[in-house]
Amino acid sequence: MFKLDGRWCALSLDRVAGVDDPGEMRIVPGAPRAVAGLTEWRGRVVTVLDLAILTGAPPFSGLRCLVALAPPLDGTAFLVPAPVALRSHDAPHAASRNLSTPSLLDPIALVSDVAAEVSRLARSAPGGRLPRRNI
Amino acid sequence: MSRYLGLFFDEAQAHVGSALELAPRLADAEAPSVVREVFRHAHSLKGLAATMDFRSMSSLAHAAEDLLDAIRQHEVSPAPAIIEVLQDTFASIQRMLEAAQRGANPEDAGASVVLERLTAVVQGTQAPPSPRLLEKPRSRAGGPVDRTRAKLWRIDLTLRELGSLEGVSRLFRDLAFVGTLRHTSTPSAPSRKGATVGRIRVLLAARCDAAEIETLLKRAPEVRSYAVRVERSSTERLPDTRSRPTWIRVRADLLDRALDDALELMLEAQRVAAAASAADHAPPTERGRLLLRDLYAKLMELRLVPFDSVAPRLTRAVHELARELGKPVRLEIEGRDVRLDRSMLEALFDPLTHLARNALDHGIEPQDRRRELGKPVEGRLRLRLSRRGDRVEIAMEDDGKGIHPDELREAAVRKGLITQRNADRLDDESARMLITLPGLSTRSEAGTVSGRGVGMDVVRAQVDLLGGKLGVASAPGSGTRVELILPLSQAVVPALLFRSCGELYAVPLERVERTLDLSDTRSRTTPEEVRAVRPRLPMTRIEGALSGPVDPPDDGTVLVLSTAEGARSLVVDEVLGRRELFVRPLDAALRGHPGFEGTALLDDGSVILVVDPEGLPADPEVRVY
Repeated sequence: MFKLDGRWCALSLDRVAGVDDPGEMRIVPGAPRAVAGLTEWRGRVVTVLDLAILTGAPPFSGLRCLVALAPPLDGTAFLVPAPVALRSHDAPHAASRNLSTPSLLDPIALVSDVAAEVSRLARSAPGGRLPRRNI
Repeated sequence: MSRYLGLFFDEAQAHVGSALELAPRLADAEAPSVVREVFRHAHSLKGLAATMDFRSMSSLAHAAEDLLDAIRQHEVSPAPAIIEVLQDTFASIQRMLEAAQRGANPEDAGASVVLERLTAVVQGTQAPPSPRLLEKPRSRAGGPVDRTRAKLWRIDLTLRELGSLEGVSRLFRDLAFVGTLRHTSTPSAPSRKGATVGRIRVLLAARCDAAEIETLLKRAPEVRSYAVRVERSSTERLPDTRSRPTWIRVRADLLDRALDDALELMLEAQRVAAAASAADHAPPTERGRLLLRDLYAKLMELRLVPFDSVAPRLTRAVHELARELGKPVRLEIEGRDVRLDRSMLEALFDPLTHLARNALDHGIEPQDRRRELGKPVEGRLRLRLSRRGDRVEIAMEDDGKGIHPDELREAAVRKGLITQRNADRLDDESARMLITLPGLSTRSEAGTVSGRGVGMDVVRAQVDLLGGKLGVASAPGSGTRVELILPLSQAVVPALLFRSCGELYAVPLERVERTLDLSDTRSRTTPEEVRAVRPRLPMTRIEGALSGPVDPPDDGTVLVLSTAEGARSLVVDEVLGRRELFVRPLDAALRGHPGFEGTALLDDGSVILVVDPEGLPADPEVRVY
């Protein structure tokens, strides 16, 4: 779990391969704005997606964490604000104690949004420059 | 029993797939050998299903076997209706297998109907079954044949003519029905006495008696005389003159993990070597590096599977579609042995089915129309696969009516997908690509097969996801060809490393035609000298093409790159030399990016983007030097 724009967000643990400091980021020309870049993580290249841009939240500053995703999205990671906490969330229990329920993020849907934007940019590319990105 | 299920499914699927593929050829000139082969598949299916206690499956296979036997004996003619029943039978068995594999009840709703049709064909069309079909085989002595123990038979043949080797091949295939051919010698030279003799010795391991073998030998006109005797019991070790690879089943996810580990190990070794070199220590041995690379290559090889493994499923899908539409179609597949990454092959199945569906529904004309046009009544659908370096090219081609660019322009405007002005601006090639727009169909009514405007957009999206390209070529009246160009898999690629706007990139070396020093080209003054060293090509800068205008470099290097559409050039700041890179395709989020085909890591962990010269968009600030 982590806080984005003051709200708790969560990723299911079975979607997460690991959490780390973000390394040096390599920019990808022509990629949607949500693509923060590429970095090396455990011997392979991962595409890092900025979760704030992806979810429409204001950009965050300060410490950041890399959350590498598990298969089938291995090769992709989210850039999230630090710190990242590990919680076992019991929804009925939280509701009974008036605790706020975190938004459970769907990584597949988020990555698909980026993939769709990349495809859209690619389709509009032949013969001219890629248009400015929206995501 | 359950631990044998996996093997059963593999074997049964292979038999049913081959039978389905061969079935349309039962009426061809070479039918006798085709009939024998399909018969063998039905026979094997029957036995396999019975062993696993899949009774309905076994009954269906048995009925098909009976019908094929009747065809083989010329008691039934392989008319189209008969072939169709057989195709339905095998398709039904295939559905049963798929259901059983999913853990569902291996019954097929259509199986009983198919069985009734099969039985009706055998009973109605066929003469009364020969006694051979009703009686159990008997030994020469009249007692039942002992089929529990295999024997190794030695068969010495004297041929009538040495030239009729084709007939001998047929005989070998017949013998292979009753057992396993262990050894066949080549025919000897004719004797001096003038008799046309060629002698062949065959060793056959079979659970049958001599009479069955002799029946086959008597039927072969090439055989002048023969002697059949038992060489030894097969409970002894039989000589196997052929060296066959043995197969084991491997869990795909474990293989993938091993592959990742090998790659990580290799990168680690490179880092150790770099660190050792920097610290002035002796680097690890070259042999160790080569061994690691070899290990990785072997693991990669394990991931690749031949296209042939999905060909039967595709054949079945095409057959079912063709029948649904009432359009006889022959599917020809070339390049079955082309091997692709396992996951890519799976991901390609649906797009290929979509392409076939479009070709059948929109491309290939109805029979009457084809007759009027002087085309063969049977439509032709050709799928060609070929490997080009680190890519696989797949082309699906039909001989139908082709795509009319005007119809596509009109449909796209009618559906509001583009404006009339833009439609008019498109050349024919670009107009044909409109077919990949979501929601576009030139059909006024949706059919059950296609025409709902879904299909080609799905194909394009899937090809994009796989990091590939799609192209459409068509000649109105003659047919359409859809081409897919896909990366083979993650692979070691010799590449040229360069720097542009301060970032590292690479391009596959096989794409680099030549490099030119930009400052050299400027120092030349006469047009002849200029033409001699620099190409008349638009210059592209990666960042300019993808992100926006950038200042042209004062000096640097021009890379002349080859693409399917001719050469193009890239202006870079500095060429750093040749490297062997382990290129991985872009991940799910970036797959489909037009400018890059993959990523790689350098020894120090630097990330390299590998440029795709085909896809890199044109630079708006283009200048022709």
